[in-house]
Amino acid sequence: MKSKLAATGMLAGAAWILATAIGVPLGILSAVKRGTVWDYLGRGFAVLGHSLPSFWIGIAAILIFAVWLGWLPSGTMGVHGTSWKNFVLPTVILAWLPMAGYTRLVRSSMLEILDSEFVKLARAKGVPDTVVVWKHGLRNAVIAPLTFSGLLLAGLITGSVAVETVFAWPGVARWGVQAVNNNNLNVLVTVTLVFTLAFVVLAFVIDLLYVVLDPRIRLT
Amino acid sequence: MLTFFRRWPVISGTVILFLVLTALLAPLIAPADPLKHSFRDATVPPVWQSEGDWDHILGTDTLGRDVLSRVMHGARISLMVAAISLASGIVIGTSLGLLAGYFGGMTDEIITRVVDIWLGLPFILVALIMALVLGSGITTIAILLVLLAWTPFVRQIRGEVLSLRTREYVLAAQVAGASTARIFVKHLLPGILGLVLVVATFQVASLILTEAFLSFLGAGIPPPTPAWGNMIAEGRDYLTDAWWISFFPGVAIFLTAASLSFMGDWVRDFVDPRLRQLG
Repeated sequence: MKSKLAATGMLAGAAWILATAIGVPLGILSAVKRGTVWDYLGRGFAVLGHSLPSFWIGIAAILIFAVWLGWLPSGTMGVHGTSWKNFVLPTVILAWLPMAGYTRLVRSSMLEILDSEFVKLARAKGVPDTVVVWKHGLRNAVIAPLTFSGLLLAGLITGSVAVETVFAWPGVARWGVQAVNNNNLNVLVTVTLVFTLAFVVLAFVIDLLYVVLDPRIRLT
Repeated sequence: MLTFFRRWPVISGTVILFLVLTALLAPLIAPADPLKHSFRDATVPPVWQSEGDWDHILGTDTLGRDVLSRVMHGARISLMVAAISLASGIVIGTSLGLLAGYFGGMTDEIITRVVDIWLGLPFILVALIMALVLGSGITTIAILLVLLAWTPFVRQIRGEVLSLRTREYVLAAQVAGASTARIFVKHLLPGILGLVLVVATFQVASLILTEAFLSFLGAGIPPPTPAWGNMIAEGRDYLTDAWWISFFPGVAIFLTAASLSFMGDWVRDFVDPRLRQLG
């Protein structure tokens, strides 16, 4: 149980970091360079993320990178020892959906903020463009995606079920799926409780994060 | 020409129309019986590969069933299940949204809380539990999708009704002594129909994706009935030798979901330009 939790946690954590690291800058880029190639790239990417089922791109990725090109192992952690290579495909696939979500949200909130009065004032004062975008814009734009973190968390749970099944990842979610095929209701209920608990705790932490990031919000 | 393409959803509209026609006419136009086994014809590759032949344009699976015919019949199942659950979701969600938005107070409080709790549940896992308890089948998957389909309607429509009910024409109807039922049907419903349409378009995509995912996990539509999700699951073990078994149903899912999502954007702008997102 402990090792399963660790496997799931590591994968989901890595995916979340990757999604933030790529999704947020891509959203900013597509908002700042609105109407250019970057914008279309970011928006196209967001649509792709929502329409491609992760269980299927997982299979396609195994086919291309593991079977045809032979660059990466097809997932399974710990059979021949675990290296960073085992993480690459599952992490990217799991990060896919939240990444698209972040791109979309950061883009729309960034556009809204770049259009607001205080940004215009900063520009009028002659503050350089980079500073406007990164300081005035970003600090306000990161809050909107946070409000959707609940949805993103739910997406990570669903994604874990898909990715762990496809890559035979020895985590909690795959344990649950196996339980379906073995008719083991107890295991499945346990898995559901574990995920619900994780969801509630993380959602609470995110609520606390608001206050840190946005001084206007006060917990009463 | 370019403005025409920008103005009307030509590509996504064509894909959706094609899909609906395929689903309706699948038994007539499919080149083969989707359930017919033929071990002699097992794992024939698609027609453009050297061993492919024109009898099976997209190849055959490990039991020699025609992949193209199975994808076409899969569209039928997917759309049928999505339509049933969407219709029930619209009725339940719209009614509750109207009630919550119009009456406010305790009614609103209870309905909103239930929706919040509902959205907090890890749906996929709950669906797996229910599939295990009820046994998987078309009825179970339809029930599950209804349980998923209703919440967005409640949220969106409640918000819209909150603003509609303070409008003068609604107040006038109240003062004139119109019954609550009359206000609902005559005065509020026409105002929210557009919004219902918008939410419904986006919902179809997510219902189809969820159905495919559950079928893939073995908790949706059970084989041998052709469904996109269970075809992908069946082909998974033969990736190295017969990639086409899993590949084409996935393409079908992607085209469907992407078209519906573009269509949703378009419907939203068409119904209410105020809802247009920046950009």
